[in-house]
This record gives sequence, C-alpha cells and structure tokens, in this order.
Amino acid sequence: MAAKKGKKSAGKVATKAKEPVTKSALASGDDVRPKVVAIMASVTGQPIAKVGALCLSDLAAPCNLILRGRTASELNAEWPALMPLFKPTDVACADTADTLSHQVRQRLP
Amino acid sequence: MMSFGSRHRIAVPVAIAALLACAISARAQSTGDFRVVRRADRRALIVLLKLPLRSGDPLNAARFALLDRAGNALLPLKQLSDVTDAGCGTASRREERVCLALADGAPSLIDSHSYVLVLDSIPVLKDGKPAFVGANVYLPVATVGARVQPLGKSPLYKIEVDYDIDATNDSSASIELSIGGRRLPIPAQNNTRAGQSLCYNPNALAYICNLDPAVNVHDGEKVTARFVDAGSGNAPTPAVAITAVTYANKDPVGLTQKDQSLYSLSIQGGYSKTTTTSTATLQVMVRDAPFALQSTHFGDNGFIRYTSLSPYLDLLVSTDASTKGYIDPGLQFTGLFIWDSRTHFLNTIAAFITPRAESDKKGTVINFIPLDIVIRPGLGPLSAHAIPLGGTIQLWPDIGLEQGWTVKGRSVSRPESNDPSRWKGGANLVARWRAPKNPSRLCKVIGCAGFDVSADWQHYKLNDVPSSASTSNFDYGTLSATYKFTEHAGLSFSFNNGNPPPLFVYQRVESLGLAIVY
Repeated sequence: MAAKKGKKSAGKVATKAKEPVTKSALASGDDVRPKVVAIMASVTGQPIAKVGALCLSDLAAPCNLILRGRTASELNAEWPALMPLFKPTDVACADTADTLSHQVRQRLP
Repeated sequence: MMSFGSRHRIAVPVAIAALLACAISARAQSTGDFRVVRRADRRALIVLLKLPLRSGDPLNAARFALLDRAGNALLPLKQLSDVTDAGCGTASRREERVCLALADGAPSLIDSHSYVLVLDSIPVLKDGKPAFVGANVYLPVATVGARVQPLGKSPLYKIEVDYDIDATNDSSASIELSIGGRRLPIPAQNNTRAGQSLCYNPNALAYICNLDPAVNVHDGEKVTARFVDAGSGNAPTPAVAITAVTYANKDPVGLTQKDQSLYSLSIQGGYSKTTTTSTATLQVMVRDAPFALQSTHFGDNGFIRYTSLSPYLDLLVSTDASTKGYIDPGLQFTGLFIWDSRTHFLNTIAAFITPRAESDKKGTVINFIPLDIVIRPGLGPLSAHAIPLGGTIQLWPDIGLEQGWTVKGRSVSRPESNDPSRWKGGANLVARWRAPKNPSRLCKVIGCAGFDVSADWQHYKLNDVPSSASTSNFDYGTLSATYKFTEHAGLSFSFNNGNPPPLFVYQRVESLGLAIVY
C-alpha cells in the first residue's frame, strides 16, 4: 500500500514540471536520460526542470554517502537488471544527468 | 560542368595533404570523448560517444573521411551511417555510437594499418539540449591492439581492457587477468552476459571485469591481461598482446575510472569570542573516509545495505582557559539501509557506531566510549528539499546511546558519574544556496561559490548522575554560516552553545574565521 502511495506521489511530481524534451530526443528512443533526471529530482527534492546540467552536489547539500546511496538505490530500482548494480560509491557528487545516463547505458544487460 | 570523376581526382590529393598535415601536426581535439573500434568484419568503424545521438536516423557521413596512413589513400565511406541491427549493434546500443561502413568496393581495414578518421558535426543531446560534437576532430586509429586501462585507486572494483575490434557475440575468446604475476580469478557474477565472453560489455565494446569483493593492488605491481581460447565459437583467439599497466598510487585517476575517494573534512579556525574572553579556536571534523569493511548488499526494488569503517575525529579547542572544549578521536562504522525513496517514506536508516575516546582539551577527564550508536532516519522530503532562492535543505533527526568507561579523572567533580551511560537525541539541518548563475562584478572579484548554513542540536539524558547533580538533562548546539569564496574555502561564523560531554560545563563560543570544507 505504502509503495502504491509513493508511486502516486512520484507521478504527481513528474507531472508538475517536465524537462523540455525535443522531438528528436524522443525519436532517438533515449528513454534513459528522462528517467535519470526524474531520479535526480526525486533524490534531491528539486523540481525536474531544475536538474538540467547540474551535478548532484549542486542540487543537494551535503552531497554525502547517503545521498549517493539513495541515488544508487533509485537507479537500481528503475533498472533492476543493470550489470553491475550501482553501489553508493559508484555515484559521484560531480555526476550529472548525462554522466549517470551514460553509466546506465554502459551497464544495461 | 566538372564530372564526379575529375572532381574526385582533384579532391583526393588535396584531402590527403590536409589530413596528413593535420594528423602529423595537429593535436586531435578532445579525442577523449570518442573511441574508435573496428567492426569484426573489418568493413566498418564504430565511433563510441559519451552522449546519446539526437536522432535514431542515419547520419550523413559525406563529410567524414578515412585515411589509410600506410598507403596514404582515402578509403571511401558509405554516405549514411549504418543504424540497422546488423550494422554495429542492436537498437538498444545504438544511442551512443556512430557506425561508419566502408563503401562497397573499398578495401577492408587491415589490422596492421593505422588510419586517421576525420569527423564532422555529430548531432547529440547534451544536458537534454541539442548540441554537436566531432566538428574538426581528427581521430588517430592505431593498429589493432588491446590494453589494460588506467586503474582506479586500490582496492580495485573493476579492471577494463580495451580491444580495438568489436567482439560482440564472439564467445570464442576470453581474457585472463593477473596482478603482480598472480592470476586473478574473475567472478562470473556481474561479468556474464548472454552470448558474450566473460567480462565482455557489448555497450562499451570492452572487457570490463567487475570485482566483488574489490581486489588490493600495491604500488609498482603490474596488472596484465591476455586473450585465452574460451573453447567455444569458431573465431581464432586474437593474436595481439594486451598492453599491461603498472599500478602507481600517485597516478591521477584514469579517464575510465571515477575518483571513488569519499571524505568529509571540516576545519575551521579563527578569532573567537568564547565564554569569557576573546581568543582563538579550532574546530575539526573528519569522517566518511572508508578504509576497511566496505560491503554492499543489494535487495529487491532498489534496496541497498552498505557498510564501511572510517576514521573519526570531532574536535573543538580554544586558547581560552575556561572553555573546556572536546577532543573525540576514534573509528566510525557506518551502516546504511536504503530504500527507493519514490516508494518509501522512510527511505534511509543510517546507523553509526563510533568507538572513540572523549576528553576535554586538557585531558582532565578521559572517557573511552566503546559503544556510541546513532540512528538517523531519512524521512520523505526532509531528507532533501528545495527552498526559496534556489536553495536546498536537509533535516535529519537522530537518536543514540553512549556507554563507556572513565579512564582518567574519576575523582573530578562533574554532573555525570564515572563510566558514562547516556541517551541522546537531536537533529541536524543543512541548507545551501549555490552561487548565482550570473555573478555580479563584486562576486567575481572576491569569489562566490555559495552560502551554507548548518545547525546541529543534541540533547543528552544522563543515566547515572552523582547525588549532588541538579539535573540529568543537558543540551549542546552548534550553528554555523559559511560564505564560500571557492568550493572549499570560505568565511565562517560559528556559534556553539551548551554543555558538551565529557565535563558538561556550560560553554559558549562565537567564532569568525576561515573554514575549509571538503
């Protein structure tokens, strides 16, 4: 039940502010980055539109092991088949949506 | 009107001359953002990018050029990049690669030849926005080889071997790793993909061996790799030798490895107004630098359990005689239990066990606290939230217990009995505002990297107090505000107020000085 509630609220956040996505971005079939952006927004409590090119340490303070662990946890939940799954130490405070998306693509099965 | 043939005859020598000049004299522009791999049939080059292509459509490669340096001949490429599944990877792997096939009739690539590949603008998405990479980039394509990539800091959690030929779906050859001459067993877990040889990552087109547990490597030890026959498939084992790498602790972290160092260091010193006088203070806090017992367990739905051991130091000293201060050195065992915060309000339980000593600055009383346990729950939006003016805030409540022995100063009169036993609870708040996007002139001159405010409050409930004590409840709080000139240095005002252990003597310290924060 709690999980369902949580999912609902996550959905609400997503509809509040969406990152502008170009038509061509959709055409490329790149569904990794929008999900990574949503995860960074969820972990840092920032609106999706604000994530842009900012790194984790710009989005939340302090950028400590807990924040990195939470990011890793949400990435693993979104892509449970990643090889290997993200550890808290795999996520760096300097990571942006682009660098995390690249890492996700590299770890896809 | 000039025919295609005559135009071609003129264009080729000009292009070769230009390419040679560039290849010899010009440094390749940001070649680190690209890697070139030859397709297994030697009829195409795969350019690997770090950003996704803007579109899944074929790329016009008319302005790309490939020069064979052995014969100084231009090899014609097909006009459009290959985006078919049979081209250079399945649909899911096409996003970060450009497949440049040789034109029909062009000679195949030769492993012992080196080439120069000239790129033109490649439309990608950078930070979610349309951008271009590759304009005026000359990529040297060396003779076919393989090499162990620069290593991260020991212990190693992965070793990467780049091979210049695409070995996707080729399970005939595998690799063997050795460190300092000792063969390294490669775990099957996290290194086995269906249809691929051990460690081969068809997304990165490289052998990436993930090591869990991580492997220690010492300064000067050589990490070597070699191809071995995997006993399946028809292709012969690659004959190329894999270039080894020697581990050096001082080496900068390689491009393929991320700096995994973690630490939290705060040093603040300066002029202060203490309980009674004006004097100087020094505050230091060190933690989150794991050096042992690192372990990660993964559960369902994103659950992570992480443990590690770090050094720990919490110190406040002052030249003022009446301000007793505290010096708490020790070790900190960290246990994190993390759930997907999109589905769990309680998204984190952080447990810290810190066996440590505690003392006032003169060592009047020294307690050894083998059990100092603190639990911090991460609750919904409190664990990170946006605040006005582009700021961010975190609020973490905590509860804990401290049990220990008094090893010095048993006869010193104080509000707590010997061999301390205390409950504690409190909260930690951190707020930060980033530097403005468009800094003012003054800002540019003095530097502005943001503004931090942090507050910590602890309430202590002493379980054993002498009969003379009037209360068993004490509080201690710290507040600091730091204007950061740079990412790691700033002007800080801090305010400490209350009765900290081990003496629980009231002290109030206001300090203005330089803060160094990592």
